[in-house]
Amino acid sequence: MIPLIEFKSLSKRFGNHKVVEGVSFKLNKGEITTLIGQNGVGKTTLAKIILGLESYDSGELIIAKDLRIGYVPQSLDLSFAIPITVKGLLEILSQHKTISEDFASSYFLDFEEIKNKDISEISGGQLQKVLLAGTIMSKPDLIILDEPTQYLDVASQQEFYKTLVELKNKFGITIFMISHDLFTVMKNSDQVICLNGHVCCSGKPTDIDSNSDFKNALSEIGVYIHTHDHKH
Amino acid sequence: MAIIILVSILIGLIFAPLGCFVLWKRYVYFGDGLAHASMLALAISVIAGLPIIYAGIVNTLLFALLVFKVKTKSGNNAAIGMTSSIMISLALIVADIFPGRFNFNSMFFGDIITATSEDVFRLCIILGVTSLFLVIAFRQLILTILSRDIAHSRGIRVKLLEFLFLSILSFAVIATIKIVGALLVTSMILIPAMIARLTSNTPIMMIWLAIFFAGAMNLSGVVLSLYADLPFAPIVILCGGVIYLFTYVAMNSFSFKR
Repeated sequence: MIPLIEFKSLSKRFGNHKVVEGVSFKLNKGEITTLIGQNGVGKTTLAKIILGLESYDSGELIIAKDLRIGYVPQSLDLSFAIPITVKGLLEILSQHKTISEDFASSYFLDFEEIKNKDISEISGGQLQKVLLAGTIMSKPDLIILDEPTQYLDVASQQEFYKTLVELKNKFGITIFMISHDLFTVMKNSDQVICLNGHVCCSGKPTDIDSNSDFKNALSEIGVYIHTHDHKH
Repeated sequence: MAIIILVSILIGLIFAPLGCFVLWKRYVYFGDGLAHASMLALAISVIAGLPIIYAGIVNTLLFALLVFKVKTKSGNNAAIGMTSSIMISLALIVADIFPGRFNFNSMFFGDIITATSEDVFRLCIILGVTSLFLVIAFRQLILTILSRDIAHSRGIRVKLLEFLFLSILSFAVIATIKIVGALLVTSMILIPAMIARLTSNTPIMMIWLAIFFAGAMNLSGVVLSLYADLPFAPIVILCGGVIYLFTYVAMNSFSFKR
């Protein structure tokens, strides 16, 4: 496995508040890695550290040379004052003057219907798909997704994850995803990392039967009841 | 007469595209605060014996520095509100200490009659710099407006881009303040963009339409101002208000809406 990103004992604090401490893990090429954990445990902070939006206090972050990173945020800083169509947004995100409509159509069944709509007129789920498609069109090596399914209904979530797996298989894109959605994530990830300021547990979802930490994490939906030999 | 018409056209050409970005990026309050705070530029100009444009540069840097220092805990708008109030207060105190040396009336309301060929030259330079910057950085600016995080992840130097934009906006405001006045300069920046927003479905279309509406507003303002002997900036704002109203009604009545 070739790691594109490697965290080595990385720590970050905001003032006196320790956000993450001694975090170590790798993002391997062509894999879907998902970071799970409750609110405020440092998931988005780690993503922002990769993107260079946040600094870190100690440890090491190794990023593969010339790595092209695409980022899909939770939402846009959407101002309704800016008139921009779905097609226009795809052009901006893809960094191309014109986009492949065939490619876009392969990701949205309703692309023809929505391409000339203003982005303020489409649903949160559709917008999330547009952001992902635009990011893919910019041909990144790694895509970071921050809670990509929070605006999607259950059916759309399944479809979204299916798209991610297709992307991985078809283009070999590495995906790093932040999510609360334990069960769906487990089904579609190659590596799952539970974070709670530090890495509580990590591994392949298939290892779940033999991993007590995962079992504990999944024992209640969204609530991590887990045991350690240390205190949080 | 030729200078007045030229100045009004140049102001429209500069303000219209800047106004679109001010609206999209929600910098409305910044522009307003800066315009009001620029009263201190007049005070600096009188005390230090500097031309108003240099005093304006000092004033702008002071305003930006104070806002960025104060905003950490209180947020942008509160920082802008407090900073502009402090700078206005300083200007008023200086005016009280040096009575008879300030003409706040012209600072507040401006006067296009005072425009000179030097103003035309200065506005041409600002127009050139503004156009060059917007053409080169257009896509980066739009991406920054949509998401600072995405822009940053694409290697765009977001803070530098925002700093350059605000600097250009500041110089445009300072360079035109004696013509349009501190009270109305923000409206002159915003109204063409607001009218254009009613009729546009792409950012580029909005910029071109804003330029068109700014031209219509400013030229009708100049004509009315000269022939009816009325102050330029208020007449332009009123023309803009009327155009906005007609456009709004037309768009809603005839279903021209995108």
